[in-house]
Amino acid sequence: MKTPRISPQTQQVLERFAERPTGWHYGYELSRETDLKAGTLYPILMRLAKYGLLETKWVATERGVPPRHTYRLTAKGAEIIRDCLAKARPRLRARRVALSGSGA
Amino acid sequence: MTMKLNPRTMAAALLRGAIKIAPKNVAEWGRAMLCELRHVEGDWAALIWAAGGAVFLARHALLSIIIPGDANQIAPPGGKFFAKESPMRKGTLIAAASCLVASLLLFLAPIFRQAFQISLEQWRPIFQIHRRAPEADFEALVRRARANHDAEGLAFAAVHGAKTDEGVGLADEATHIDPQLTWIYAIIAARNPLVPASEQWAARLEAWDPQNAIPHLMVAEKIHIAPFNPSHSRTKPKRKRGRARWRRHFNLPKSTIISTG
Repeated sequence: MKTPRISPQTQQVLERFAERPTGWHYGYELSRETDLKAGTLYPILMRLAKYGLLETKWVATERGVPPRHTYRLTAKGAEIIRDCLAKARPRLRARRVALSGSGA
Repeated sequence: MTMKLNPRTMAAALLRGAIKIAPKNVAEWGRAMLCELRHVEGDWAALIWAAGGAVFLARHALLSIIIPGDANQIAPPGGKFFAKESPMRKGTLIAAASCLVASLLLFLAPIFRQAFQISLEQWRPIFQIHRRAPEADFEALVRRARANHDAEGLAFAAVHGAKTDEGVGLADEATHIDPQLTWIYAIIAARNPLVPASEQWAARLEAWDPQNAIPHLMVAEKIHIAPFNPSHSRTKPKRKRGRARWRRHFNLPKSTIISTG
């Protein structure tokens, strides 16, 4: 079976989630960590949530402040992502090396 | 009360507007971006955040119009979670290809091609596109009509040509092929009442369609204009003589008063 292709941006997001698989993440926090703008980040989050790899929740942080949308990996998501990242990492690493032109 | 219009306010307004047009399944993500907006550091960064989000929501709003029912899409089998959403891509491609083919099929209709060419004509002077002289097109049309013995094509050229002599010749050719086109003499005579052959044409037209008043009007027009023709400039206009010719042509008694306005 053909290996699914992961975009570098999706991989960045997945790596963030993989670092703290059980933790909840905010959208802006992910944006800062991955350096992705809202227009790039949210389609990725939306797709992951749609396919059941992420669970979402609204949490109230302070009184009088609107709740925030937070995201966490599901068990299924953690398993699939671990597998996908393992397959994708060597290819992405090779691409990075090729793009940097150092060859080292 | 005046509202302070800073980038952050504009950003919030932009996202709220985009949420309103977004489909239901995506609007929640729009609200998520709106709630995150207050945590974004920097007013301009907030505006950029909102602009990115608004584009994302607007794109989904547009897609929901083109491909309805995307909200209930199930997860793809085989773990292809990161592949492009093929049903959406396929649907978009089919819709785009159908539109393209339908628009190209319109070019099969000659009337559409002609209208398209005319609509482009107005841009020629702007883009300084030089087309060949209209005379060349006209000559080609005459050549083609002669080669095909196309009476209607010759009649068209006779009526639309700039040169009267050439028009007369073409009219003769057209009526020789198809006598039913004799009426074109009336058009040529109406444009050039002083053509020498117009009196003969009047006789032919009268024989072709005895109930038609046009041949008589042609003669009357020629009688009326002839005295003022520059070629007659050496002789003094003689209305009296003209009236006598009218009386003769129309068999009118001498007592008839003819007013030439």
